[in-house]
Amino acid sequence: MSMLGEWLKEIIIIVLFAVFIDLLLPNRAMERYVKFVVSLLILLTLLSPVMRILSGSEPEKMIAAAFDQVSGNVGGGTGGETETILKQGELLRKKQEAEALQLAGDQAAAQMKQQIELETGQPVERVMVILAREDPSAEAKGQGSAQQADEGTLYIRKVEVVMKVPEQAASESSDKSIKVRKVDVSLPDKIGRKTEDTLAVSGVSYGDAESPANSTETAKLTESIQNLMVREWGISADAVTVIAGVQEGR
Amino acid sequence: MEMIQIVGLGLVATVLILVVKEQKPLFAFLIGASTGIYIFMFLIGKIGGVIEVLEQLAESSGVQMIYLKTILKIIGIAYIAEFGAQIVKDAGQESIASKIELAGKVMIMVLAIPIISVIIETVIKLLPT
Repeated sequence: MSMLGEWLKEIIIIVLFAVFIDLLLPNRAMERYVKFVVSLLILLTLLSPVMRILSGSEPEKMIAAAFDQVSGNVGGGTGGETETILKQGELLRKKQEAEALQLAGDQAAAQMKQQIELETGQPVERVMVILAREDPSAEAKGQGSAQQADEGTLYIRKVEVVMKVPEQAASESSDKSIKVRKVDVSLPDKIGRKTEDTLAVSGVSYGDAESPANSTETAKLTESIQNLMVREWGISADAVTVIAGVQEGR
Repeated sequence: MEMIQIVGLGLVATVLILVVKEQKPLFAFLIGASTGIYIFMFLIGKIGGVIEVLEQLAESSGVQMIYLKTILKIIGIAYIAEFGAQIVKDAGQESIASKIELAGKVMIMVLAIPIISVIIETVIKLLPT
């Protein structure tokens, strides 16, 4: 019964529209053509229940498909052109976004370097921050860079801190004069190729620094850096892995 | 008030054209065309309001948008073809005006093609094979 009501309503509205357009038409020359098309539409509306029963699909969808076919035959070239332009725009946008991420990472790195130097009182060789954009549900997202964007939240995927060992610590621990410690702060589920490289290098050089004093020093230092990172940047402590003790000459 | 504005504009343009036509027929045509375009632009805003209301009505009453879109396209084609043909006619090019009208008619028929194809398919299915 409700289907019948819908059908009747549709027919009435279409007929009303048809009358209205008749009034809107500018001149008589077009009238016959417009009346033809409008009567076709009314016929289609009248037939729609039959079509539903016969073909099982909605008549509107069939018309839409037919329209697509016709417009594809007529204006296919222009459509393709628009698509290529859109694609180029998308590429440009991605490039710009990558540049912006790089810039933001550099700034965050400079800030982190300052903070670490203030906190530990020891010189920092360099800090590398890699930002990424993921869906907001990704855990351990960076607090300092939680800018909401269209695609998701910016977060710090990886922080790499390379420390210079202070003079007195170096002289205490045997003959190594200047050493560079590497603090690798990264989320374990997002470890990329780069992280594996540093892991391998650091692992070897950890064996070089054999003295226990040095290792406790390193542990203390890395712990303080980790704490700083957790406090200031919101990187979770579980996600922080630290490998230290790289010789500079290496 | 708006009606008076339009009629006044039309009257002024007519007098100007009559004055200028003796010396420079080209400028007379330009005045006529620009007046026509101005009135057309003015009307487009009004028609836009009407069409918006129609769309809302169709949406609320559950009529398929593709029907309404087809009808609106027909109106648009009719209006633009008519307007262009009138301007060209004013310039004295009757033959080009009739070509523009022909193009409008063909465009309207192109809009009808998908509807015709769907109806014919249905009818063919209805017929016993």
